[in-house]
Amino acid sequence: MLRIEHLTKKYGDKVAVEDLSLHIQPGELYGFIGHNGAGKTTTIKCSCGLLSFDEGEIFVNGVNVKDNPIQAKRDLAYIPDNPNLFEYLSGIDYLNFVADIFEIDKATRENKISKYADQFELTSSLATHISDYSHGMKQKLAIIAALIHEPKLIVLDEPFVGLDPIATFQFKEIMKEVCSNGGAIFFSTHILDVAEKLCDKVAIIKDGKLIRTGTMDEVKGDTSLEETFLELEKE
Amino acid sequence: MFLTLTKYSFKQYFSKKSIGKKKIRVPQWLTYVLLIVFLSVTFFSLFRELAASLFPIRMGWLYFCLVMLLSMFFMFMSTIVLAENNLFKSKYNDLLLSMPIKSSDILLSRLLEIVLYNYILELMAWIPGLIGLYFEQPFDLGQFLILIVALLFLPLITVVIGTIFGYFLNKVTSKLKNPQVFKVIGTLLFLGAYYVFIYFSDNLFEDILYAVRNFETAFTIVAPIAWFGKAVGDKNLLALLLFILSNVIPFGIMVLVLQKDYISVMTASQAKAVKVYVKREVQQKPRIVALWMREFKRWLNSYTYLINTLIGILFILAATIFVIIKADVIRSTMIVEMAGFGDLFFPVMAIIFIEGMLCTYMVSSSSISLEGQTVSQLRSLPLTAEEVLNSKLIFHYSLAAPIVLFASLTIVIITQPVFLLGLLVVLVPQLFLFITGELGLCYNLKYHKLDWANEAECVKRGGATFLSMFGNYILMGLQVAPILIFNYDIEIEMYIFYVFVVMVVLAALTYLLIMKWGCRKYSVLGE
Repeated sequence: MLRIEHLTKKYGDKVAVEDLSLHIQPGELYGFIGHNGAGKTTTIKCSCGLLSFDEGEIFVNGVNVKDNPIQAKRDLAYIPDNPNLFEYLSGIDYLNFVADIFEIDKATRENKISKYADQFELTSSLATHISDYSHGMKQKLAIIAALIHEPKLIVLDEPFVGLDPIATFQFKEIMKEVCSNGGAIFFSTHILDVAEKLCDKVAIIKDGKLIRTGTMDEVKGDTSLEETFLELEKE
Repeated sequence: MFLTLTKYSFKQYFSKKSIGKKKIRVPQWLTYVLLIVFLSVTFFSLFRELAASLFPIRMGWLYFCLVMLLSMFFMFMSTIVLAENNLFKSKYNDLLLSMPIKSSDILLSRLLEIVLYNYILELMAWIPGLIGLYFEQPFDLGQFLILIVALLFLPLITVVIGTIFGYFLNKVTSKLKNPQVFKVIGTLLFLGAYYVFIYFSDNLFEDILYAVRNFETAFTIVAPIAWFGKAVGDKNLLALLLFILSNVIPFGIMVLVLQKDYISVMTASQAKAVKVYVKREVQQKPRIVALWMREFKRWLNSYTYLINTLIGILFILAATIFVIIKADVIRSTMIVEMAGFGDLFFPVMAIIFIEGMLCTYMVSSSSISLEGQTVSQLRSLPLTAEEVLNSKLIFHYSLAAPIVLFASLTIVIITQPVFLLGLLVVLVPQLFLFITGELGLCYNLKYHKLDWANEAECVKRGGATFLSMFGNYILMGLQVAPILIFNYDIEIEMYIFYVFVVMVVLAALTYLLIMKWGCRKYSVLGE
């Protein structure tokens, strides 16, 4: 679903990501971990067509992000770490805007908005301007907007920041549901316990290079993901 | 602590970020200079006339009172906004309250910031006021020193009055579902009052002279104003002392009252009107309509953006209504009186007037910058750069086009020019509107600022906005210049037709530029 081949991204002379390759299959929940500034967000943004890159290729559902970014974006949803949404819109206006852009029919969008807004207990606040939302509410709204067009791939940067425990639990269930329906999820996180319990596969990035990748058992072995990560960071 | 806070609050005005990139500093500062020169010249001519009338009849103190009132007016208007944004709902309230800083220090540093800002505004009235006086009346050193002392204290009472208004404004707007409308109406009323004042200023001064005794009585009732006038005009030290006390005491009382429970004041404004969502049938819209609606809602929800774009359009609307009311006069008098230019005068002037007003209509020139940090969100959606940029162009055009069309058609109906000229009166302003939108978008694609903290940084102080306004005036000037150069001795209909043809070509070329270069610029925004 997401194929990153030899990705290299530089900011001037600084190499942010170097020769990174990753393959995420349909149905996989793929965690992406690394310290601050390791290159996670850069990789994620390149994957979503938000950043140009110097070398390599990225394919979303077989579509080259560089050559056909619009088609690639139709199959994915991106949720940034800091949900900078259009604050001048109300929650419902924002969801309808996203639905219009993805050309979602009336019945489907009504059904999706109703389902997920109720699930995240956001329905009563949908008329409120996003500028008046808390961080968690914005995050919930971004998640609902991402789910409206049933994307084949969801790319998330620190998705659990700001979510309350109930919303976190529900979102994890939704992530599992998306994957069980043939979708794929690629997300970065610093919460290693969550990654360990939730992910099928995990990739660890350090200083722009992928240092470990594979199934959760392959990566952590007999220890915990946290111990593995800390050991790798020391090397 | 107070000094540290004050130092950091002033850093925002002098940090590199607030000044902007080197590239956009020149037009920005040039505009500030031009604005100050324009206001100074306007007020200088008014005050000089006033000084010439008042001093010979020994009513010099009234002159100082009137300049003082104007300076207070400027300070009052800015204090309302500053008090609302800085004193009551500053975005840094939570951050500062979380630190071991006394709330009284926060209050005093913010009040000092407002007072110092008011000194600058005070000078906007007093510099032309003093220059106007210098030309008409000898001004001795003693009088000047008394004036300086009085001016040092004058902002205090204005800050008190402005803060009280700002407090109530904050209370009212926090309870409204759409506070922008309230603020826009208030601003338009203020601007209306300003223009009425300027329009009737000649008669006003005559009225003042006729009723000068009544004014003296009126000002005596408002004692601090009279004390100010007497202190400076008559070099009365007792009046100066009374004036200083009349400023310091209310200011001191206000500080004491606010200081008592400033934490409550800072946090009280967080309560907002809540809209409860009621499920309604949704409509599926085409993508371009959805993008247009997004632009419209941003415009409607931003006081700064709204007011900066509305003025020009409203002037066109007001002038059109005026033309409709005075239709008979225009038909019978103006056309005949402008014999040198024949019956073409009014239609041609209408085109120039509409274009002149459209020069200040700034929508597209800040529409890229206004995306701010949300540009990643927009770019993550399956939208082409062409779609996004077209939506901005269409929005710029569609917002003003109906009013421009209404104005053009009114002129055509009233003046009934020949067919070609009538057609051009309708088409040329529409084309000008479209081109200014295109150019504004180009400027903003080139000079954008996405990391702003306040919309005013890109709407009011954005380099692209200034460039766009100057560019528009130059474009208009290029059209008008040949008429003036040839002293109206040209075939005006054909000339406007050629202008129209050139503008069509320019519009097409600029559109191609946006679709090629502009789309490339857009596709790397925020990287």
